[in-house]
Amino acid sequence: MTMTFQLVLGAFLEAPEREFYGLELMNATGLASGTIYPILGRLEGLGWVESRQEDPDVGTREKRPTRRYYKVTADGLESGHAAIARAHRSRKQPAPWWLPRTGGAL
Amino acid sequence: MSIQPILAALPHELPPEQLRMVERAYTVAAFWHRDHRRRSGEPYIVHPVAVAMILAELDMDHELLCAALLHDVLEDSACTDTELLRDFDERIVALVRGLNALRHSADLEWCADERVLTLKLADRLHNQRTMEFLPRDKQRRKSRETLRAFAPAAARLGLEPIRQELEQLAGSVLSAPAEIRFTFHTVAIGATILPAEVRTRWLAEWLGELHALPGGCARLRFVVRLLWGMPRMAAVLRRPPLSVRDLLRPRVRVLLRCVRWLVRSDARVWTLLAPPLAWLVLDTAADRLGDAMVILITVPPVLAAGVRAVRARLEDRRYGE
Repeated sequence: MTMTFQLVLGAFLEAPEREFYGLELMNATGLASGTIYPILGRLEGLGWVESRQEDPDVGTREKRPTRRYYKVTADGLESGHAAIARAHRSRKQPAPWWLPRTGGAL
Repeated sequence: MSIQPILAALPHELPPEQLRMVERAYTVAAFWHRDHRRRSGEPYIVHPVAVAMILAELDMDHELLCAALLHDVLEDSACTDTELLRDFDERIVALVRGLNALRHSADLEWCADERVLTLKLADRLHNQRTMEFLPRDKQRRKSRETLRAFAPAAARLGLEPIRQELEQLAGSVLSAPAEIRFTFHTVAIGATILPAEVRTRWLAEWLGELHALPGGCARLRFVVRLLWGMPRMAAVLRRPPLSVRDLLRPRVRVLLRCVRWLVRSDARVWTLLAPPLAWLVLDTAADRLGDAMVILITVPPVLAAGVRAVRARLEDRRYGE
């Protein structure tokens, strides 16, 4: 798992209830557009995040096209935590603070 | 392309007979549009399928789905009324004929057939969604027409989501600054390498981002980096669907597990590599002792480096990415 993939996944896992749009994720992770969108496509393909089109009314009110929002799924939450924990273990790095440590199984 | 996206968009399953009818409409439309392309370069059939999907999302019946798939066949191909009537019910052909009769936006006001009007609105919605490949003047003219005639018609039929999206899309075309139009057009050209069925969805998303970016430099940086990552994006989106990968996954996993187990221990790796290496050295030594010495000195370190690299790679890639 690449570091950039971990960064994007980490942003979702840190705030599982939050919905992000592409630019927000770019700002949160410091990654470029050409890196973020392939990762979002991959995460969506894996079923780890789901996306929805913003309510068209909001776009009309703010005179801009609608945005697409991404949110981590239940499967993404579980598999993502496990994947990041393994990636940190294999690199012998301490796991991030937000990662659950229940029973040390993850 | 197939009718799968249409069926997936339907809130319920179609009875077998109606399903066969929709499949037939798709086959006929694909045949008559086989040589046609959209301005984006996509096969033309993408458009009728997208129109049918819009109607499927609105839970319209199979006749309207068939008419959506066939809606451009009479006007844009050599197919005739009689040929369509041989394969399809009169009601479906009447819908297609009714749509073709609505030539001007003013016609929407007198059109009394709600089904024909719904079909026309779905057709316009998809055209409005994929307008970026039209010349700028035409985009503006069509968008004004959308706001003047199509959005009110959608409101009259109570199709609120369609009205909202039409207004929002047309509004963004008419209000977009020239710079955003230019950068978006550049992205649209780069996005031609993405799979046709998802291209519009990503372009719509990037159009939204371009509007949200604060200035020209930020937009330019966004576009340049996006174009840089486009081949990777295309590779990600073109990977086999999960169902196919799931079939492959158990075997690949077993294979990876075996290789990982093997390379984890030096003893295991060298037990496997030592016999062929010894045979190679002895065989060479029989003829040329010097060459055998060279092999003995150079090959084991290279193999050891290779094993270390594979070990590191497998540990790093334990999870799918």
